[in-house]
Amino acid sequence: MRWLLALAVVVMTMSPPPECAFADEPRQAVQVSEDQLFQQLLANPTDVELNLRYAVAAQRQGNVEGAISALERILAAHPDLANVRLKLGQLYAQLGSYTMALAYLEPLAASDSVPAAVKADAAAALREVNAQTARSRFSGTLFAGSQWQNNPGAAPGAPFFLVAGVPQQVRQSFAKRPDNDLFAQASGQYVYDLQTPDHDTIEADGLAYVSSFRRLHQLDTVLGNVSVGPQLGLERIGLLGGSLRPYLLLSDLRLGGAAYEYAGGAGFHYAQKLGAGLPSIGLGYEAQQASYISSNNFPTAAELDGRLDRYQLTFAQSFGSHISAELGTVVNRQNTRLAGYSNTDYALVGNLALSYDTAPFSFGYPLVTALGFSRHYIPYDGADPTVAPGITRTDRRWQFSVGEIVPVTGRISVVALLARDIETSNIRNFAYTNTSFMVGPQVSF
Amino acid sequence: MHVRSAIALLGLCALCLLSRSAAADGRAGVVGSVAPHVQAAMPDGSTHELKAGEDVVSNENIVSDASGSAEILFVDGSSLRIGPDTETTIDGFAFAQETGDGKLETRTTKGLIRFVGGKLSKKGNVTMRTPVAVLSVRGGIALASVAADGGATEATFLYGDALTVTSRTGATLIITEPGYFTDVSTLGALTPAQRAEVGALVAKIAALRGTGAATAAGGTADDTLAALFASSLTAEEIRAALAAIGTDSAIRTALATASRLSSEPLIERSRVCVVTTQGGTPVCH
Repeated sequence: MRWLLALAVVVMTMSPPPECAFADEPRQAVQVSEDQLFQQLLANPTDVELNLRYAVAAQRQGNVEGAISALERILAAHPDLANVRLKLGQLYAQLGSYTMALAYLEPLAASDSVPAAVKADAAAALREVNAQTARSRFSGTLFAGSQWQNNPGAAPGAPFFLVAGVPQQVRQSFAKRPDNDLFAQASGQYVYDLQTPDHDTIEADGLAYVSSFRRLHQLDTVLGNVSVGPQLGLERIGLLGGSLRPYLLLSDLRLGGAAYEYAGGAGFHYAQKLGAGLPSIGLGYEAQQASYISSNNFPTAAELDGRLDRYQLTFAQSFGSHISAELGTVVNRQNTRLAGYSNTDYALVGNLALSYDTAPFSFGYPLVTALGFSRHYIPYDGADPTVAPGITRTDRRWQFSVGEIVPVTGRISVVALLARDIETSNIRNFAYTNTSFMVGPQVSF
Repeated sequence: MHVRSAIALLGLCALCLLSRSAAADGRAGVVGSVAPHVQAAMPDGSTHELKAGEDVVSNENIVSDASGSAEILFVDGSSLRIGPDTETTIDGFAFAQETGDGKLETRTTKGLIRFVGGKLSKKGNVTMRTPVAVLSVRGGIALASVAADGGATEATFLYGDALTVTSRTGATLIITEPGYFTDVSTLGALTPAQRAEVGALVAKIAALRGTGAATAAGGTADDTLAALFASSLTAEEIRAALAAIGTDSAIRTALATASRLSSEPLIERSRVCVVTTQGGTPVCH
């Protein structure tokens, strides 16, 4: 409860986003809304300053077309303005209209009569666009840092365990205790563009994660997974803004220096944009066959062998260009060799991300605050006689997180994430809480 | 009490009428910019030289000569740029400020136009007719060139949800990939969507600005920006404003990271917590 209160205080004290990003600009000027500026524009459409202000306000509201329109009006009066042409090229690139972006950027980068700084920026933007439009392209992120947890082993809060239905005092070695780890994560995506009008691609996504604990070495993790499949535009069957990605996936997990799990399977993800101002829908299904390997640390892991099914439905919505929200439901079905381990996890998941332009620690890029929650209801199929004969386990879990992303450059950020898990169960062995805090740099390429 | 209610009702009605005035007064928009030699033919038959800032109304016909160009800024935020040697009529315009409903219809018999969407196109209510095709823009930006002889049309989709091209024969093509175009022949035959050449777009961008675009490869130094704008903004403020417009990609990257951080914990801790016994000792794994 105290933790929730602290989270509420953090959220309430966040800097509100300012209306505009003009450096050192009088405050009254930045309070003017996009609509007010547009009404002024209708009265005086040739006012260059007004068009510039409107371009800024419109873009901040996610109205990139409005910004383009205003900058084009400026160019109509002053066609030589290289800065404005550069900005138009960048805006078209931002919209994914790469050919149009090239049409603005290529003449600038090739010209000897534009200012050197503009020419350099145009060349840099041109490289970005060329990278985005290459038939074969690769992108990814590296994220590394340190994580502290007060209960990484998910040890129960109660002083007694149930063993075969008999309460036993928890040994010190299995009691709740904090630890910290160093981690590194690399994720990458390879895209081969089939260059069709329906923007079909073949994609391969990969993730590698490594962590090393200071004390709880049985939780040292090496995780790798990869998925491969085509991404198909569905305009060909009349579903505008729809895409389908069927894929195959493989994953491998090692814990405590020993093999723990490997899995393979297939799935699909259907994404549908419903139109401007409306949410996007994501619908997914994934099936995996997982094999677990018992080890000294996890002697009964092999009993978890079985099939995993995952169903997912999400709604995502952007509000302007600075707020995005996502709400979804996820159902994970885990079939194992034992009814006491088999379960269905019904989850409701929500995320909210807010960006804002100015803050004391800004490096010239907007900061982003991310808030997340999930609520799980997890009934098991049957009793586990080694724990509580005759009692079928049912868990409930809250997960909360608040993250802060501080971009230092366009590609490097410092990321901090505070998370809290609260799990309750009708069997005391499985009720636990854990608070974690991770921080580290992230590099995207 | 009844009198007060009646006054309040009258007040509300007056507000409604005022808010609808943009549509009710017949004004579709204003002339956002104009290069010389663009004529306007009004619905009443009168003609005049188009001037920046003047109102544009439904059924107004706009004709540019070989050096002329103009831009119409509609009251819903849409804009239509009209290139040289172009003839376009605002066939119909209606826009309800409160709901965003309405329609925008144009008819171009020759020349080059570029449409940038506003509120109406978000609902797919924008139609551009040519002698051989109907172009429907949904939420975006499109370019069309219409041959003076026969009206053969090249329609290029630049951004948005979709550009639907329906030829005079009823054949339909939906383009959703920015930078792709289709040709509609005078007989109404549609070509498959093809990728536009950068050089062709450069030429069309320059042409849309009329003769003023002849110096398209030139540039103006930053320190003269403020003077050119003749505004209260300093060059530094203008640079800051332009820089602010370009930060959106960084924001989107950060938002995506934030979403991933919140929704996918790096390692699901709970998956390694199944308590059982090991030689009579409870083990969490």
